Amino acid sequence: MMAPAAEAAIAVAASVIALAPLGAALAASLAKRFALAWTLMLIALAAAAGLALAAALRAPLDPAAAPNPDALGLSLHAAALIAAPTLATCAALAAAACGAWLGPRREAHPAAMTLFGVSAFGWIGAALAHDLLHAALFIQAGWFAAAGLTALRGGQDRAALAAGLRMTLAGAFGAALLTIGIALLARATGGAGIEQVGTAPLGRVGVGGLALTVLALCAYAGLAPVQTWAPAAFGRGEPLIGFLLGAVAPVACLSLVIRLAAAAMRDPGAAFAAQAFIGGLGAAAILYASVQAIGARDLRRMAGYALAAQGGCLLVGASIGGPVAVAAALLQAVNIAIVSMALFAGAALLAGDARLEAIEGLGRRAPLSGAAIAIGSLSLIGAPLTFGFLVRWRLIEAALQAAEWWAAAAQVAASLAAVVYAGRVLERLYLRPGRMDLIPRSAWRVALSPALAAPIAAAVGFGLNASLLWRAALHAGQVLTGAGA
Amino acid sequence: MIVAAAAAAAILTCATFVVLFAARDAIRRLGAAVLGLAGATALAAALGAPAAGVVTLAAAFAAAPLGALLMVRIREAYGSVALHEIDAADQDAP
Repeated sequence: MMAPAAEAAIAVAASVIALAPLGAALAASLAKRFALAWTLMLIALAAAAGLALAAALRAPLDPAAAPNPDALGLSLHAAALIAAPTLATCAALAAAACGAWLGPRREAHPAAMTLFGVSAFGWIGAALAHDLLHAALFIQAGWFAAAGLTALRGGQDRAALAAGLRMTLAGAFGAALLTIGIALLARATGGAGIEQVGTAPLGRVGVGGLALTVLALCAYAGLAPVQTWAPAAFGRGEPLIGFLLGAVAPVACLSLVIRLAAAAMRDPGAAFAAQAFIGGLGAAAILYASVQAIGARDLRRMAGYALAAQGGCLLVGASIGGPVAVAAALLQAVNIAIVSMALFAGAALLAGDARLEAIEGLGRRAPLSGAAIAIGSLSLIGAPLTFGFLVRWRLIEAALQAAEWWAAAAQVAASLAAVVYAGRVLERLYLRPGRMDLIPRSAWRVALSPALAAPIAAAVGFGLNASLLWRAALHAGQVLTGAGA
Repeated sequence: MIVAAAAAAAILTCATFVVLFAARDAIRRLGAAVLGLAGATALAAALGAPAAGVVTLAAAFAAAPLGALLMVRIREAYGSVALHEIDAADQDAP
């Protein structure tokens, strides 16, 4: 059993991690200069990332331990031990990259940092939330702040306004689905607790609620075919929106889906329906998003679709059930964050133009950006010595162990499709002469370096050895599936 | 009684979602989205989980002003809020 003092410290850590970006956002709203707002946000998110990492490393991996939620409904539960450090680190790196993109601009406004902070608070809170109701509320904060941030570029490109409107409408649709889903689940289980799902028979009402909730979470995560907002937001919004909606939001939403799926699998009466719905949605996402990614002519749009296909792989893995499959799905969430950071940070150097022609020769002109896009692309394929390979291996292994051949085939199909679209990116990066302009050299551009170097280090480092991460993921898998109880 | 209320709220929600996807101008879509949120809140209450309505209320409080603000800016930038005109203008843009 966890000591009461340690339990209290972990509960407080959850709130501090989530509230740090909100505090910085409030301070940024009072700042008159962008540089001050940016510095405050960077410090707050770096501190939150450090705290999340320290808490995850110190938390005892005891399947019987179940931290209680604090006043905000947050706790460092088993899945949060992986999601919290990932989200906080991604948000900190994204904040750093914001400086490279917005800093040199005269029109850069502290409001961008305020919206960024509120959005980061929402997504981190959603991942740390103990129950669905709190998670859904945090998601609203994360989503609508991101919609505002997307539209903030409307002064330079009016299409960003339309993208912001699409996100607003999609957010309202998702909120309605979430509300009905949570209400149905609450009617079936008697509460909004995630781990409560599956402890009692779900019945048709509960399965319907589960389906609506998962569908809404997938829409927020940008999973095809329910991501009507994604092409416009990724293609026309601020480039930094890619970090928030490509790396941070999917990890928050998909970790909730993994928790829900694992809990639902505990109910033998609902397991088949849950598997069919979540697995079917995942397979559809792989198929649709892979085809769209192959046809994409813009790096950020391609990245959005590629990540939607990776999210499909996660859903297929989570639908298998069992601690190993759930652990592999959690690793896939981390992989999505790493790949997303690599691709969007690499694309941030292009001066607003992310057409595939714009990355020609980037590997020679900007080696670090080129390397980030290349490593991200290789991880999408699942090339050996990248984290993507290890995760794909674990997902296929879990599918084969459960004799779910279709799931293994879906993972292989996602990799084969990635060979086509990611291979095309690699060819343009290194085998063609460069033509397009990059953002001007300035002191601000240095701020992009951490967002480029960190995903490269993570993809290669975890590709070589991810035993610590796997141990934490397996612990979470055991807790979520009830195998360790 | 509960079943009737739930069915009415469900029909309201579904109808507004149909408008949300079918309407050709952004103002109608935003109106449908806000009505859909109201329908979902009513449905949650009819299902015996009024607390879940907090989510839709939060979304409505964020979506309505943000959507209205964007609508004004879109009308200024495009000269119209008709979605086919906006899409056509965006496709022509570089």
